[in-house]
Amino acid sequence: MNKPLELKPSQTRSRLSGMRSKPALAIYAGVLILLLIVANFTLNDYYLRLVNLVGINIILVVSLNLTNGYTGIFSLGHAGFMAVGAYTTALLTYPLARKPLLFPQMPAWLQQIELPFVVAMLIGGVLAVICSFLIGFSVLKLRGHYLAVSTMGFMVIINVLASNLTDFTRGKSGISGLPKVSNIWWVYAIVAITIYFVWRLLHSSYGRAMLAIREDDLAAEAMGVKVVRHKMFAFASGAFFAAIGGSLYGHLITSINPSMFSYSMTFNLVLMLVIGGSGTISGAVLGSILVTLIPELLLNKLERGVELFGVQLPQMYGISQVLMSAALIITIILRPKGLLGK
Amino acid sequence: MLKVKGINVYYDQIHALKDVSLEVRQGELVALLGANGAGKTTTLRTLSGLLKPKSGSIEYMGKEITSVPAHKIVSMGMAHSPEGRQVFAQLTVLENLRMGAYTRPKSDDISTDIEWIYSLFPVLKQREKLPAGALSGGEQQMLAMGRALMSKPSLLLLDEPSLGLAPIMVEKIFEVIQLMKKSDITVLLVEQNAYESLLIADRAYVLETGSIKLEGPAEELLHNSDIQKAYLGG
Amino acid sequence: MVYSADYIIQQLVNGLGLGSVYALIAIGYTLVYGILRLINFAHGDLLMIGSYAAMAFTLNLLLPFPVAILLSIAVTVMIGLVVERAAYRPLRSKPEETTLVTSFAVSILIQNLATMILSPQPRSFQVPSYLSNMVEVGNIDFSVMNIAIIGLSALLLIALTLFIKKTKLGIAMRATAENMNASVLMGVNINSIVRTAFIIGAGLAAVAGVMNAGRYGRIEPMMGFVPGLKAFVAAVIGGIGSLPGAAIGGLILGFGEILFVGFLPPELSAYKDAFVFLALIVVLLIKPTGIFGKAEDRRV
Repeated sequence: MNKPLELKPSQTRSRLSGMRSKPALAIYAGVLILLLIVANFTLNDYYLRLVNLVGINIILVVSLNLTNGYTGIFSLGHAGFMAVGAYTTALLTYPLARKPLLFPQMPAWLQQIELPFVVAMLIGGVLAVICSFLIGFSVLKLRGHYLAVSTMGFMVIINVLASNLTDFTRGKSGISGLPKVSNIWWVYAIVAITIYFVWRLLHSSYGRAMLAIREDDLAAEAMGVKVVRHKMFAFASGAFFAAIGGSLYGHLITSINPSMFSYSMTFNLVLMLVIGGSGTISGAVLGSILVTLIPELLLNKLERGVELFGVQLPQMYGISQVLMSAALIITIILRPKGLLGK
Repeated sequence: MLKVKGINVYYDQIHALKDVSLEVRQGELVALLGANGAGKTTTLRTLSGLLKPKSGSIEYMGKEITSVPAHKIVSMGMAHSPEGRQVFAQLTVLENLRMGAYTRPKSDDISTDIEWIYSLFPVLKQREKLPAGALSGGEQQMLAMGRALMSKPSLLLLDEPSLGLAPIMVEKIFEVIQLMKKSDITVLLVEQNAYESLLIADRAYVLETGSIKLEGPAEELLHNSDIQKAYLGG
Repeated sequence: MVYSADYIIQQLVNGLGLGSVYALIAIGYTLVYGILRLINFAHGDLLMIGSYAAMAFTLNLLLPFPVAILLSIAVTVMIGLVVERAAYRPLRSKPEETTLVTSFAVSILIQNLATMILSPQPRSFQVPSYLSNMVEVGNIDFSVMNIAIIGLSALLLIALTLFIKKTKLGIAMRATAENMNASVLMGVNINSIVRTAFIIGAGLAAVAGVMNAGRYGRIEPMMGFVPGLKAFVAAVIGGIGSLPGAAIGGLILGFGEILFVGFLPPELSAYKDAFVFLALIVVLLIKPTGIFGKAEDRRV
């Protein structure tokens, strides 16, 4: 990419729409908290779960946006980091009473641990960061689609490990009966933290450096930006929040297995990022909301066969994915920056 | 043969060619001169259709070709030997020449034309089976020109044929260009080497930052003091 | 564990069979990549289309097997061309990650469309009896199917090599893969070249699909994705953009997989998918251009 760098300091400050002034921010936050309180008391389990899922996806996609949209590191490995987080918290918070039954072969020290959720979640995040360092320093030198495919390879490797290290993970059947920790307050508190972190980062010199790297990393290097360091930071941050999201996800569904963190999840995240718009936080949020709610509320009814205008439509297993992938293709062709992207 | 009227060409936001007009008549050898970045290559790329102008018109042999797709323009008789030679490095010399004849109908016997190219550039025949990437700069330039000639063009666009070549090669190249003029091929020559070009050209244009600054018979330009100062070391 | 010579030879032939299938798919990947620099994730799903089509032609229309294969090639090619025109052509000038994501989406679209129309249940794939026999060569039993696969693949590879080296269109394809703009200046219609690449790729994928279905005896809508991915890795290992590279890469991967499963303890063989990707990452780090690949310049 050879576009001249047009970034002026004043531009970055106004990049995030709607978060320009402190009073506006306070109002948004207040409205959100109010909505959450209302939701918590009025919605039934199914809808509450959906609201939580939206929140978790926001965490995932906003962090994915940091690497993919903002720094231009096209990573398809997010689901792998999610798995790291999910399995870590699952193993560390599993109720001691049932643990030995479920994991007879597990080493004793692990069998006897039961940690509070926050601690386990942070440990998961740290482990994910370590993984990101391990693969990042080698894989981040690659470009474009090779980078994408290598990160996807990481996801597959994690998947295969999860499916085969049965002593720890119970293999393909996965782990069920996880404590249901993820409620609306946990989820949205972390959503707020994630958005704040990413927002601060984007508006710092780090953020400008990352943008420079996305536009043309050779030029950035020539200007003195330490490309490797910044790429690694973006990648590691993404991994950290992916793990957090994975933990929350696991403890929302209360059971995890390797196939939850595989190609489907990867595609889903990319879908949210592309449709919402890469490169902006608001795009990531919008994409998460749309792609979580639309299939669940509209399309799944089509899958099961629904009556429309008096006509009984047949079961169309798979139509949800057909329509969503068609939506992705159309978005890329007609509006490549997504709905709110830059 | 070629009439360009007021074309404006952009690279993204950059206005590369500003209202450029020029004309090349049948049988002429016209030189397009200018410094690096003046827009000479952009002009040729627009003429052969690789770039499309935002406004203006290009007329070739009486036909509007402004919106004609690039790959069709060759079959209309306009051949372009691009900047940097751009021979197909992994194809052999012979295959490169065959590619030059891509638009020729199957019935044509191109072997005589290949022989003619070899007579112009004997070294190409010696290197016939080698990949073009193994050739020296000068040999690649000869191949590029030979390749362009294989389509039997009426108008030949040459982009900086002398760039990076040793003086002996440059002499040879300009000799061949003159030969083409004698063979009734109209030539539009883009060059940084103003002196040699003005010696063999009929007319010339001077491009500066995207606009035509000067035009006229080559003789005149050769003795023009501004040109001498700017391009001829005078 | 000591393996008998017979077992080793059988496994080698088995590996050659699987490798031939991967080679045919990998060639399709590399042909398209060479010209468009596009990794077409949906390529593997063409296998699935090919095998379902072949099955429909044999079972429902009761056509002879060879005819069914030819027709399934036609169907797969048509679908490949539709995908090219609808999803990839509009994105010709877009960055490579965009087209990668699009191809991912196309793959999911095709898989789920097939699931919707055909049913997610695997179906058995029947080959004519002459193919499901075993033949004895010097005391060792080989399956006729494997021999047929190896033979047919070899024929197709030879035909393709002749095409690419000797014909005008083949030379034009090589030229376009190297330098698209210069080819345009020769009068080459890039859209035609791209279509040709897709036609050849889809055709080979259809044949590979039938072969794959024959080897495993069953077909299902998601069957193409994993072999497609592996064939992509094979193409990268052999050198993406290089036809002999794709063929060699495919063979290496096929051998590797069979040897992995046939000679390692079962606990390890479950990791074969992970090893494939590990191999990919290692190749990309050490020699990104693969075994036969040509270095892609990065213009500064």
